[in-house]
Amino acid sequence: MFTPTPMHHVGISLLSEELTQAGLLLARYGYFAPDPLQEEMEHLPETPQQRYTSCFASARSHLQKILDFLEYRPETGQTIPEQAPTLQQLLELEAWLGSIWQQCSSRAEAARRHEEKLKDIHRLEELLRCYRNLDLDLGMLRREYRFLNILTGTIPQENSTRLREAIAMIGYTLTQVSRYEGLLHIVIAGLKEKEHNLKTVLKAADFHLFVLPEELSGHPGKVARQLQEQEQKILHEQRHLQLDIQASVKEYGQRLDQATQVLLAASGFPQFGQSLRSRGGLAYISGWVPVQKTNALEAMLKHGLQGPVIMERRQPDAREQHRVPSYIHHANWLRPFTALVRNFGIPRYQEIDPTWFFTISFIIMFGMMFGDLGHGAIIFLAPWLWPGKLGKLRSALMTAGLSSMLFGALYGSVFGYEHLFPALWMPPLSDPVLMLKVAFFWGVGFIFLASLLSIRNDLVENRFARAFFDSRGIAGLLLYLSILFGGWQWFEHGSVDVWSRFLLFASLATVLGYKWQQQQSAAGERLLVVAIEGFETFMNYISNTLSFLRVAAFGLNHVALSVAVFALADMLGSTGYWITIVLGNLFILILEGAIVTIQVLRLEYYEGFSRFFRGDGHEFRPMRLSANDLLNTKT
Amino acid sequence: MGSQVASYAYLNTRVSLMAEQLLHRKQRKALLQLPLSEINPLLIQAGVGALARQLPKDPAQLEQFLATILVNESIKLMRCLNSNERNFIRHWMRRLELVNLKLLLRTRFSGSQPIDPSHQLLDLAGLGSLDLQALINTDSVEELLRQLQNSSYSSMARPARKAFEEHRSLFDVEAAMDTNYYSQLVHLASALKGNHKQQTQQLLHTWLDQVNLISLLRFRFVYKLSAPHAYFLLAPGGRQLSLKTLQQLAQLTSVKEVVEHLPGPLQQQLANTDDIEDIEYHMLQLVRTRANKILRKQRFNMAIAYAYLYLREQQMQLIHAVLKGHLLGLSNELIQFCGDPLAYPALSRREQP
Repeated sequence: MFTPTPMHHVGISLLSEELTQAGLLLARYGYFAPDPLQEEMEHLPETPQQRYTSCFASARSHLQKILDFLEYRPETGQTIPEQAPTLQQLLELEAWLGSIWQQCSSRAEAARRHEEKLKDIHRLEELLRCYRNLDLDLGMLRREYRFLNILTGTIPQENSTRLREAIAMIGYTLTQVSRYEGLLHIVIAGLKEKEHNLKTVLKAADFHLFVLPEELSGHPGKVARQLQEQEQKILHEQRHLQLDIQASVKEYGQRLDQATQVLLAASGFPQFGQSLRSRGGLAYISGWVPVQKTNALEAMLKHGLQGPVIMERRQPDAREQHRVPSYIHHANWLRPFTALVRNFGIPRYQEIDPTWFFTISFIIMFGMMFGDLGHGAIIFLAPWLWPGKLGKLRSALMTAGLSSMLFGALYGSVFGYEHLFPALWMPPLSDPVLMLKVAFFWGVGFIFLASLLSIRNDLVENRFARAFFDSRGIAGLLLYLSILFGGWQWFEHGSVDVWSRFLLFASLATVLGYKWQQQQSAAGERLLVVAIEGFETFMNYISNTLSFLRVAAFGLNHVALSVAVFALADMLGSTGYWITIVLGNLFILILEGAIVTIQVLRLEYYEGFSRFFRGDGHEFRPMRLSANDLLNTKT
Repeated sequence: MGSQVASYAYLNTRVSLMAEQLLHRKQRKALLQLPLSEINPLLIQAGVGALARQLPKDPAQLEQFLATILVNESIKLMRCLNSNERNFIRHWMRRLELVNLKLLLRTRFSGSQPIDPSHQLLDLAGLGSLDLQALINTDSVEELLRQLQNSSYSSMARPARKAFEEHRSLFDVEAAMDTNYYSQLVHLASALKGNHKQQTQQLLHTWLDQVNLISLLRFRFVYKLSAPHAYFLLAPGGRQLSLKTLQQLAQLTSVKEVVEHLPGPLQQQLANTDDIEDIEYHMLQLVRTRANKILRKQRFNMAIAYAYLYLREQQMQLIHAVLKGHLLGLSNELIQFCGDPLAYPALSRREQP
């Protein structure tokens, strides 16, 4: 519950010929996580059944591509075969899938060609629209003449009159064909012998030559008809192709369903990866299994495989602690909180799993900062009011809502009204100093607990020096207590007694001494680093504790915002009053609710997790038979 | 100038620190000549100390290690640049991704065995943009180019497919991809501003001179392409070799003739050379000299990042050649022969130490 499930390292020795079946059994069992072999490599020099793996990979890739192309979702509810396919069966399946993909690929290529042709036709139609007013064979504009010079192109609209006048001086004419976004499509014609005078003036008028494509040959009306005919033909071919694809789905659907099941049955073996080695007819697989599942695993293998199987199990040793996966299993209602913890990291194998710590403190702090019976009730009911997107967060919203309602009852606040029922404790604004004190002590407790967890983690991982002498160890905790106690004495009596001073200096000296020992650099640099880190340790404890004052500040802020909403509402008539109250409450609910959530997460991650939670473990990922994994689809 | 200094101070510092890793000429020579047991100090200075501690057993791992360093350094430098500059450097570094792409293309053309990405392809981490697995899973060239159409290389996919449909040859598809790559690079360099643009273009165009001249000679006299075809496949423009010059050079009939008709300064430097390999080494030296000059003389200019990356890549290639030679148990003479494109005293004296 508070640490990842204990694991056994398991080594399975079996006959190489039964590996594919073992893969199916282990993946079906769902509690075996392969562990890449680290030792004994020289005694187990072979990687068996590579052909099976590559054949599976190829078949899987073909299946994925076929399903994507046909837009077909295979029926995955069918029973997965009891026996893993043999290499021969897999090869046959691969060959069939390969041939089907070839058909699909040529259709995809045809579809692409159709798309491109359609694009070309649309481009030509667009262009033709510019020349549709011309009553001549467009091919004439492209042709070379002995005495006549014809140019087609574009100029900026504002240059047309001046250019027409200019080229008229050398006997050329300008005909405007169409206008498009400030550009004129024009045709310039004149005698070839005057061509040399034309070049510079066209450049000055920003004329861009445009040679009509060969497809536009003939009268515009005729060309338009031809393009339309071509378009219709391609659309017809596209429809035909679509029908072909639909027919393929009907023809191959059932076989593709079967192929999916066969590949699912074969998918266990490739998941062994580097955890599998062999020598001759003997193979060895290593992996991690939760302690309570090892007996059942052994029985299942002995029952499911025909040949002999030897399963060795042992506790993970000290050197491999970092390799042991963390299997964390929580009740479904904790899922949203687990997701937030994983957002930070996965606990190491022996590290405290902070999910419960996080969940309880999150719920309490949210309620303290957003205490309102009415708002809490809406948050509580939100998953039912908006079941779609908020459904996944149901438990988080319900617990946060309940906490908000509880603190709302303690504060006597409902939708910002503080006079509708008597507070079980006190309205926040009635004694802000008390609120700040409560938040302060909450912060002290939070940091104290986080430090204890940090010490525990270090002790379990045999880092004794760190657990005792580091700033986050026992010495650091004593330093923190001495700061708190000394501070209290200073405020209460105006002085600090000898014992508190001794505790402060002794713990600080211990922390600094440890940091000095940890540094490997030259003496001067060492001194500087130790001095800065020592100062940082001291300041961090103070600032981190004060950081928790925001818990009270947001509680007060909630009331203050409500007061502001009421002040605005009071300025309006009765209709305006209620509209302002509703909108104001919505504003508080959404904006302040979001800010409070962010602030709570900040306190959890920064003040809590950064103290004790390394989060650099890796998740227990057992072999499994999953159609989503096989087909690379998102769940 | 003030804002220029402020904007590029970090880049300047970064490049200055990184440039400490560049070995000078004598060190590069020593790297080639010394036995494996004595090159550790040089490897440490070149920023590949991990190789000094333990050399990977597999040449592919060695290549990946060096590529990762180069990629990481380029990413660090890109963080100091604005978007246009970053786009240029990213595209420059995409040559590594083109290596992957061409390997995939070749396997599709030859219909050879499936590719093992961890051994045969470079992992470009944050710089890679291709879905390599999707490309590996393709069955044919058409399918590969279709996949490419949906990637950040879509502009390259179109001419490549055109070339494939027309010629059905690997050479033409690769050449179409290269041409598209160079055009993009020139286009991205032209989007830079002021002195950044000027200095970057100087180095880029010097490099394009090398690429164009060597490609032209190979296309014309090794692959025996026609003059128009060879010219068509060249990169757009260069520093001393304009498109017009290249057009004229493409019509000549021998390497010697081409060298004789090169523009003045180039002609002087390449005089008495009629071997394509020799010309390539000389041109490479010219680009190195230009890059060194920019790196030493320019300040608060993005071109120093480009020049550094160019020189760093050259150095990585040298380290790769030397270490791979040792890994494969080649003799020292052979390693020197394979890894020393720069041992030409006539030009090496021009290089900055």
